[in-house]
Amino acid sequence: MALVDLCRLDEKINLKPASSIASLENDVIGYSQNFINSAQLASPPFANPIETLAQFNSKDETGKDIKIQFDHGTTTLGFRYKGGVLLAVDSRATGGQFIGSQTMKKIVEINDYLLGCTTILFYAFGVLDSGYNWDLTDEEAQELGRRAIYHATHRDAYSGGIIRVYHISDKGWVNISNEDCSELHYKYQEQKGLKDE
Amino acid sequence: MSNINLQCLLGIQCNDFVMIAADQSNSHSIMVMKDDEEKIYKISDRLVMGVIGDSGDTTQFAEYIAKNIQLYKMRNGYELGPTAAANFTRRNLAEYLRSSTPYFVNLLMGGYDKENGPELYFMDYLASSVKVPFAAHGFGGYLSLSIMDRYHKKDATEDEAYEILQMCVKEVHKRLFVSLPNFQVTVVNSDGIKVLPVISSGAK
Repeated sequence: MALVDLCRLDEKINLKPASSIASLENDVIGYSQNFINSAQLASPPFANPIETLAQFNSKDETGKDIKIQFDHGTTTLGFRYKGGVLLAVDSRATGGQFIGSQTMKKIVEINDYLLGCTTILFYAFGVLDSGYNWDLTDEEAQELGRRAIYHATHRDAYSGGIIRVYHISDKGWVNISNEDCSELHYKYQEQKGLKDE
Repeated sequence: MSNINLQCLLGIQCNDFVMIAADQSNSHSIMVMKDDEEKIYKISDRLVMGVIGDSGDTTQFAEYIAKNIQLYKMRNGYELGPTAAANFTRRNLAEYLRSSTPYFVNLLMGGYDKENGPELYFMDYLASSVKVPFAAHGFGGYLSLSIMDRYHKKDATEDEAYEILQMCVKEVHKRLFVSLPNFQVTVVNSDGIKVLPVISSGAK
């Protein structure tokens, strides 16, 4: 290498694949910086993640539009009781380890009497089973659904955002509430007599 | 294949006591060998340890820890508190983990400290140790954790805590595909260790 330096060849010819190594190193730094500095978050590997990540979910590998989208790692639940059917969902949509949306509507309003939604998590099951009986009042049922989703969002990183509660009866469906799970968390903590832990 | 996640340990710590429940099934492969196994070990007057994992390892490790803590008391004339006992146990797990013969056990340690009151420690086979208000091991623990999140409160009585454990066991019986019919329950408070009635799938 001394001869190369002496002839100043390295200024004229690029002997090292410097650019590829530099970009690899930048990637490594970009993805691991949050291990060293907890205040720095790993950013998605593309510009403008809100729009770009959304495109991943709308096209398949051949570039065709995907007609049905399945949400992975999300929480939705539904149960039947004497007052009709109750549905509750969270609103977090994840693509890999990144949160794509915090406000997604996971319940599809098909018509006045039909709502469609898809996954239930065991965290939600625990709360749901322990508080369920057929003779719940409407308010109790709504609170049970909301509670169950809240406890799932508390334990599961892939669930979160806004908790939407829908009630379906012979008069059609009604959107009961749309609440931020973090606000619910502090509300429930206060009910328990706990200040933020 | 290990069945460590098919077994279940539950623990709740409140202001006046700490309560531990453990399933009583001993299974090999797909066969249940017995359903009245003792998985909660008395370590000292106010200290118990619930242990699940490979069946030889659980007994061997629990007895090793229990006897060493007794030995410490004989040598020094005073007992290890829950924190000290948890640190000693964790250290042992960590050292065996880095040997050729690691113990494959998950455990909960609950005790009553004269100064600090009741304490609960969650430990896994990788020798992590965390002091927690409530905890669970195994697949049954996943189902139980949200119930404990929902109903646990610091000022609960022993009866209330027992009811929370009953709800957890009921959920395990309802939603878990593994047969864990019986759960033994032990409570530690300022008076010492007390064995509570077994929670069974048959009982309401």
